Amino acid sequence: MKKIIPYIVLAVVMLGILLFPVKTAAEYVRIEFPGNENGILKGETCSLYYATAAPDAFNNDQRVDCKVDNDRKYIEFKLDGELNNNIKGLRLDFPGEEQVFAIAGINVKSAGFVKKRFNPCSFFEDKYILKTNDIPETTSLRDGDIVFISTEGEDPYIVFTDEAVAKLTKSFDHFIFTKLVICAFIAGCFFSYVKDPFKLRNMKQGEEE
Amino acid sequence: MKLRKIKNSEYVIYIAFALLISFLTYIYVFSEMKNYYTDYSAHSRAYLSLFFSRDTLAEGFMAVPYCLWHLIALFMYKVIGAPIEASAAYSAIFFTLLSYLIILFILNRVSENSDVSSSSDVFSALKNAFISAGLCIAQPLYFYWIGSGDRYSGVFSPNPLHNPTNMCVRPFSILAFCLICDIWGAQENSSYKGVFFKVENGLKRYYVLLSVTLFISTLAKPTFDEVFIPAVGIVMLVKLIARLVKKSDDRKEYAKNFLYTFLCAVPSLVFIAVMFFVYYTLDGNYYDTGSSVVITQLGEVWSLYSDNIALSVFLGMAFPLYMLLIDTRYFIKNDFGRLALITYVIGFAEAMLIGETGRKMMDADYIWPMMSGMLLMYLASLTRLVHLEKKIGENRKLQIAVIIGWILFLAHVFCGILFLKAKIGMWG
Amino acid sequence: MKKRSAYFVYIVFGFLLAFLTYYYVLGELRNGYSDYGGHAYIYLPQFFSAETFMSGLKAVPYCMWHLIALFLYKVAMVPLDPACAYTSCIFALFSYFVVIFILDKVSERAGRKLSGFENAFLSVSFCIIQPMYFYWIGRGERYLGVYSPNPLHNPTLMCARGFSLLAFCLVYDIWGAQENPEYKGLFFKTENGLKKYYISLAVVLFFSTMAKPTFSECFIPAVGLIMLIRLIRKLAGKGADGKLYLKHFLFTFLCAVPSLLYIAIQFSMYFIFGGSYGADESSLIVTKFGEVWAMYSDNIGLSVLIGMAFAFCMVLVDTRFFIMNDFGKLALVVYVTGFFEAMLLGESGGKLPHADFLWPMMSGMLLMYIASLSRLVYLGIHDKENRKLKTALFIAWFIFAAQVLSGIVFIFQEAL
Repeated sequence: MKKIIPYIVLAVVMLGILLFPVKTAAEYVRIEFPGNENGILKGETCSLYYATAAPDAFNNDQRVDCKVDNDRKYIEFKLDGELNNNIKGLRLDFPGEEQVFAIAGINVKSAGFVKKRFNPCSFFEDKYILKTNDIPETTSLRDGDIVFISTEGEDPYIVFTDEAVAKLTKSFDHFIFTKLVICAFIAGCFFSYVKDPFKLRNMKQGEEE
Repeated sequence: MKLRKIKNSEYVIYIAFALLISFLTYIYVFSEMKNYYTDYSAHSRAYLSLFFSRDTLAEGFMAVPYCLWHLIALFMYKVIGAPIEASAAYSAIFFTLLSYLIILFILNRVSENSDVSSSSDVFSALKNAFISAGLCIAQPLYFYWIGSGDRYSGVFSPNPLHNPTNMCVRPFSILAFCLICDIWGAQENSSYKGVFFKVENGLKRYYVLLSVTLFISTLAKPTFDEVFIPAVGIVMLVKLIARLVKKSDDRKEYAKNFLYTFLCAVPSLVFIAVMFFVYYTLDGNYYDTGSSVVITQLGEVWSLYSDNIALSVFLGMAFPLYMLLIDTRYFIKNDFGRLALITYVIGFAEAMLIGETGRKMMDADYIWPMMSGMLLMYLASLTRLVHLEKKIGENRKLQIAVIIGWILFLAHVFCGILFLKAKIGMWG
Repeated sequence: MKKRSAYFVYIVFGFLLAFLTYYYVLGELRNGYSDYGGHAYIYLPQFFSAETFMSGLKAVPYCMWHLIALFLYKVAMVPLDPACAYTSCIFALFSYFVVIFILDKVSERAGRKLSGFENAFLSVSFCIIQPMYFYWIGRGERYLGVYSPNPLHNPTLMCARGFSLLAFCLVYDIWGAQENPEYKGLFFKTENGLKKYYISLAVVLFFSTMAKPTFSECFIPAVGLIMLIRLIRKLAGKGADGKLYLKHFLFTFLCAVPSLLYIAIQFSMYFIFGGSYGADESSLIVTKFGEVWAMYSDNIGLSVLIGMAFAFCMVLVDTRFFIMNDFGKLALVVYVTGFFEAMLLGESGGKLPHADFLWPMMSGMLLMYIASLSRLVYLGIHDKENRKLKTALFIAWFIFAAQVLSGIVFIFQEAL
């Protein structure tokens, strides 16, 4: 019986970790620009509006801004963990400038890991775009997997369809993998202690065997 | 404990590596000083300047009561007449070299104790010098697309090179760690021969030395003592209680030892109390007066910088965690490993639960103690690896385990080199 | 130094090599017109989706580098540039450890094992060694026209490098055991039976072909040629071992069959099914002697001399080794085979300037270099009392060091 107790304790600890309530991790939507002159974006800020009531009910309270930094070559929007399963629509706003720029990649990150990568050519296909404003043209360059977007006027934006929204917002991390790794580590330490692979249990550092 | 005579060729190697890390520290500090918003700039230009005249000295002390780094830099600036950037750099070099030499001393002692036939060849000297210099610059594993995408923020580091005061406390923390391990050895067993110090000749001077080391470390930055003293206290208290419960013959003796060891911490504790008083009650912290220490939600402060704390811990502690995984018994049963682990765990708990109110919460000042714990875990893991390497014999699986340990340690060192490269921009 | 300490040094130097490789690859990727740019941004993306996977496979049927990079990109979610750099690091480290293995065994046979430091230093040096470079000699190009045992700019040849070296060692030991049942393997325990080594050879050759077929294109003919001559001799001598050797010959040939089949598939994909861009107008042709090479070099002899300086120096120092010893002989014959392929083969049409049949020669150069370095290490340990030899070896070490320096400069200039 005495031998079983440590195993029971281990099981309880692991179960405790697995059941420990944690908040859903935030999700980061990153839009990457190519490293050449096509990836230079004029203007100061891009925004991502998220609608929680209806697919097209956007307002300024539900908006994430990202400053344009052409040295960094990407813009990134953070969607809080609480928005998991609550986002019904997304609207991507570009600076109100007349320009043509390229998008080289879209990826979604949560809990420190890249969860999904999307080819911009696929992502900016017509079937994923519900509505645009002040964006006369989006052109896909299939060979280089790059999309060129031209904007003009005051308020250029793209509203995505439900399908695209679902794609972008289903990667919120619930830390399940992280918890499993922690449990595996604890179990590993436990068995390492029991097995004592180095068989040096009686030896203090600095003393001879 | 017998000290081996070091050959001239070994000295040459040690000095060469000392020069190398001095050079790296020098150019690193200069590059940090170029940017106004770095810790080095703030400490040199904002805080240190307060120590320049008598009128502002008290204000300076209230702003940074942990002023050892500032005092050395002040000496360089006022007495030697070096410019402010060079004074900051020389001060940093001084403490870096001290860390390097202490780590070198530890490794030499562990190597010799682990291997009686330990050769004093050039290669061993080269290896130990390399490892010591490596530990002085080791940084968390870094992949720009994993975690917060930052080399330091969120992951944190056993060597937060950008922070002058934390780098200033480093040698004293390592020294205190070794002292306590040998003192414990001698307290437990009167025939114990010290690994690092000649504790077999009596403990009195080592108690004094410990007390002084702890005090200086507090003067450098209190963050180490904030984890180390509780960790030592907890381990000794548990041992004392166990003795009392078992009614061991040596329980009175151990209670005496406990008291002596506690007395060593008193000067530091008093100084910490003074610092807290100056900092929070007298509002020495002038840039956000009115802030106080609070218990936060679990991981509230850390989460400001990391989306996945477990991942950050893994990246920051890959090498020690690996050593913990393969040799858990060492970190549970051996004083050296156990103290490092408990120090880290207490530091981790402080990082997860303590913060400051107001704008200072963003400063994450209670994550510093954990970084001292990280350093001790690195040191304990490294000495264990050196020890195991000499002891495992021809067992292929254990050899592979040790090799993986080296790969991980060197990966951290490699990331340290890349960190310096990125910060200094040395190679374009 | 104790063996266990050697691992530490191997790892330290391994990190150094990985660091150099990583930054070199990132530097190459910044240049869209480099080989890395082509493989990473044009070929590799074709493997990303099921629809374009086949066209990717047709364009680069030698896809080992691409598959590893694809795994890192798609499964480990590493961004594209570091995924490519990591892939190259993996193969660079693989080659590095194979060279360590070779030098370790050779030096042990010579009488004194190289210390960890010596071995690691030589192995890293070997992995980056480049031809000597004088900007006023030849056309002033570091690579073009002269070529290199380590064409670092080409991901696929660098991917094949470790497998090439392993196959070379395997054949050497297999030959030793075939000739003499008492033979104790230098690299492998061939005295315990050849079956597993035949299988290993087949696998290693297949992998090298999957990485890039160019090594097999010169190695298999060279091995075949030497074995065929030996077989004819043995059969002509009417000794009892003629039949036995025929069996060995057949077994060795069978090891090459998977690779040959794979090469055949690659060629058909490349030339017949139009995988190669411009395939409609290009095909494999026999050119005028040196026609392709002459596009990039005004003096092929001079180019060969610069590219092979260290190896030729060792040929001069110890010609007998390259004629009589299997290790040297095989390297030399592979190089000569590769050289003739470079001088006589090409692709018709617009692809002629691509000089794709110069790659096999570079695999031959690699083998000449490893044979030369092994011999240099061996002689340095074994015959250290001979003063004349010492002088000759000093010169060889000097040339080796000069070429390594050239490699370091090459990496720093091109990438860092």
